[in-house]
Amino acid sequence: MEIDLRDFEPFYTWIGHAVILALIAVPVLSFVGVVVGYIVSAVRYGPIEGAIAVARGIGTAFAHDFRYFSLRRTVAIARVAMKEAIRRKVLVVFVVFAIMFLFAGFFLDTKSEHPARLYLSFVLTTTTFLVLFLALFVSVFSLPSDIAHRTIYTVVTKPVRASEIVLGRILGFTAIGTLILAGMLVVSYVFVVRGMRHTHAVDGALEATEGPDGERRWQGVTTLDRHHRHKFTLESDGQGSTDIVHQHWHSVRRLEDGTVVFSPPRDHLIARVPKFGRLRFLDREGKPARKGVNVGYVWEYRSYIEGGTEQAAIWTFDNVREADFPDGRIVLALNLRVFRTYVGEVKKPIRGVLFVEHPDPTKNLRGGPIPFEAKEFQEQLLYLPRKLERYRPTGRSSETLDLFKDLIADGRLVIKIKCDDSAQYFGVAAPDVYIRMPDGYFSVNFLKGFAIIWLQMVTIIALTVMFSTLLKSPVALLATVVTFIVGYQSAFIEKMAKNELYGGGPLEALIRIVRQDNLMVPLELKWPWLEWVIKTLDWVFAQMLYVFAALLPSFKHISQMTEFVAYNYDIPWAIVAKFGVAAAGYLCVFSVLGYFFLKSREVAG
Amino acid sequence: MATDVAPETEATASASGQPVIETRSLTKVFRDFWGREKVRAVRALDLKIQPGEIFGLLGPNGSGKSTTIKLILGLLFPTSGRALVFGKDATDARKNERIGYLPEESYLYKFLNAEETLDFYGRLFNMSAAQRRERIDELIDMVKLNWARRRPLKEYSKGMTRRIGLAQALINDPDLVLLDEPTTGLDPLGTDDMKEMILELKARGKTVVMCSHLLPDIQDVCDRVAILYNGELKEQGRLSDLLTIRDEVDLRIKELPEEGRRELEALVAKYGSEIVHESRATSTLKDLFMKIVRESEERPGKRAPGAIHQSSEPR
Ligand SMILES: Nc1ncnc2c1ncn2[C@@H]1O[C@H](COP(=O)(O)OP(=O)(O)OP(=O)(O)O)[C@@H](O)[C@H]1O
Ligand SMILES: [Mg+2]
Repeated sequence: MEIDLRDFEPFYTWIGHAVILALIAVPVLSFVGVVVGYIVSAVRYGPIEGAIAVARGIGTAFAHDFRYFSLRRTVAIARVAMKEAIRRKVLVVFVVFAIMFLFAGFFLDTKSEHPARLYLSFVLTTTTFLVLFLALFVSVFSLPSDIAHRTIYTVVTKPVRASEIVLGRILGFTAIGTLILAGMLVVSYVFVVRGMRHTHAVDGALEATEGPDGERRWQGVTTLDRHHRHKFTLESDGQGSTDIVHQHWHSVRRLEDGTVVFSPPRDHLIARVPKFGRLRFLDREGKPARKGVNVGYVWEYRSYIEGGTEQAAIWTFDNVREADFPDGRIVLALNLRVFRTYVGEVKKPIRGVLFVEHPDPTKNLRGGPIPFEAKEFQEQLLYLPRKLERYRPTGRSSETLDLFKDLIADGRLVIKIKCDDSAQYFGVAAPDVYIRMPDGYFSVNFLKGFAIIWLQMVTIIALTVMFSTLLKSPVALLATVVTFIVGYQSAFIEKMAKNELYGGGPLEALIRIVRQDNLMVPLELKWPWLEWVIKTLDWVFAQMLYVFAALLPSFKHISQMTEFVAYNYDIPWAIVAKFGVAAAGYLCVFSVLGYFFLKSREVAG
Repeated sequence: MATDVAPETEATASASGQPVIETRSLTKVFRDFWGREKVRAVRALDLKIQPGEIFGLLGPNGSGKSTTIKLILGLLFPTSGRALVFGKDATDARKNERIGYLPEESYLYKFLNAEETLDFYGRLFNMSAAQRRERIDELIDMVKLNWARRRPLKEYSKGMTRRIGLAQALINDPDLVLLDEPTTGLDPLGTDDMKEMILELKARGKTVVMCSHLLPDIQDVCDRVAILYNGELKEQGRLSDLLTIRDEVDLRIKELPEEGRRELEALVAKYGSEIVHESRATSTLKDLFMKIVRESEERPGKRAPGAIHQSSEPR
């Protein structure tokens, strides 16, 4: 999972940008809307009548329709929408969901190193998929079928406003969707927790050892259950724990009668709270550098630092307060990549060192070094003790520094990491090293994941209802799906618009497919003008798509948030709030558009 | 003769102020996807309907009656011209507070039962729960559906659906009721009930606009009618005026002795007249309708409304 630090921007900085963006977008989009409305209207009624119609439409919208908005009417529409949805047997989706989970055990690979991640990904993906599918299908047929069956005649000839018809539907379908999603939440939670639950027994005999402190300990191995076994140690008091395998461990206890029992799995369902920092580099001579070295992957997200040189990666963390660390030590999580220029002993780990530096370089205070061995492909925890030895480049020092008093200033903590093995490299990105704050609650995090799915569902419902005010159901279905895909692929489209993709735009790509060209070779056509035309058309298409995509909800980004849950990261409340605000914004935009579409539509036409 | 009808309309208009419905050269052209003209369903229609009137819209199938009603309700937008209801534009949702509409067929949610249907429409009028409960009982009684009030509408027969459709049109006790062929599907008793109800509405000062093919029904209840043919207004006026044969005199004499009758005949003969018919004072609406249709078929184009050439000749 690649973490995007922009997600961790605090809410108040984000909302500032968002409000400014909205202040720009709303007038611009309204203007575009009025112009488009005028063009349509002028084609229909002529230039002057068209202008009058548009003016009257906007006038009644604000003078009457929005002003006399009635909640009772909206709820009435919502209730009928719900009944209609139930009549369409939407609950079948839920049954499908439950059945899938009953049989999920057969196709989920329990041999996985990360079973919890697998289970969580499965439930969250399934839920997202089914709920969005349901939202789409429930809302896409409703208005078009009312118009086709003319039931709309008896509705719109009542004092109901188009805004109430649109919002009522969104509300009704959201209510149904929420009920179903709540059911799915319970089923998936139970599924994950129960599915992960297991225990072990002792396999073979316990081996007694005597430690340097003279204490007797017992070591043993568990039976193979769920495709894994643990090693465990029992202390002299009969308590102990296993090692971490498959993302979890068990606590072990020896009972009076000598049998050894294992607890249910621990720490596989957690909500890690990371505090990320900013990353900068030092080059081989120890001078500040913007990046490390590139080891040859073009789109590499990590930068590399070479071992045995002065090259270093430096993280700066803000707002590190003593009060947040009750046991006086800071836990650092490291997810470093290793790049070996010579293989040597494959198993041999690459060593690194870590220093804690005072933020003010003129003070020349540095704690450490703390040596570590980089573990690949797994997160490693490093504890920064409260008392650190002061680092002197030459010789040892007897001076100790206090982590919070001497090294952290104004809540700022600076960590420097170097690779110790020459000619080997560490690959680092800013999110690779973070401070692990006290964990959040897994159940709350699971709920947050569902809240994000819910927000996505509401957005899809609003989008679909908006299209269904204008289009027949199959067309509305297509329009929603296309919008979703464009919104989902907005990052890809951005790359295309900025010309960062190989192979060019759609026309160029088509030519390449037909000629079976390599993507890397320049497109060389017989006629240079044709090449120019194709590239220009592609460019225009890409720009248009880019603007469109930029306006849409970035569904991919939203659904990636559920990965946080699967990867045991706590979803920051700021993210939930941001998506909440964004969803509310889209809800407004889609309802207003839906209102104008429905209002300007001849329902009996 | 044309002048006989027009001043009267004017008179009622000025007496009661604002007409309930007014259309000003209302025109509707249906176009296909490419904007090509398909049908000209309503052509430059001018109508004024006064409060308290029962107004009948007549015309053969496809003559634009339903289209006119939809334009008045704002379900369709006029191609040109305007429709005003209670002085407001037809597309203004506020006018609906005082309107009841029974469409050609009852387009209702089939999965609701009678009570739920009326409750839903009551909510759309922002009625409180108590008001709705009371009104629902009243209306279900009125349309005589008490025995089926909890059955979903998908199980309803045509006439039953029609009845519940009527009930929903009256949920708000409207001042203006638009009925598109209200009696289709109703049994004779239901038809009579419907007529009675329309007259009752009139008695309570409501305005009713209806279209129907059942001319006797129209003749029984309507004050004024307009006859459309091919989207054009062919005739408009008070039924009493339209159906009066102006160059004929009807006498009804009680206990006329044989010699008196002979004298009367002599008198008539003296003026060069003759007695053509004895009992019927007016023509029927059906005759008028047939005549206008036939005329319009023979002579397509604009026919001055009110120009009633009602004489004895076609009979
Ligand atoms: N939505 C529509 N699209 C295209 N043409 C239409 C539409 N609605 C009505 N028309 C046409 O307009 C004309 C008038 O139709 P309208 O329904 O108003 O007739 P009507 O007088 O109510 O007939 P009937 O007595 O059969 O109910 C017809 O030619 C009809 O085909
Ligand atoms: Mg009709």
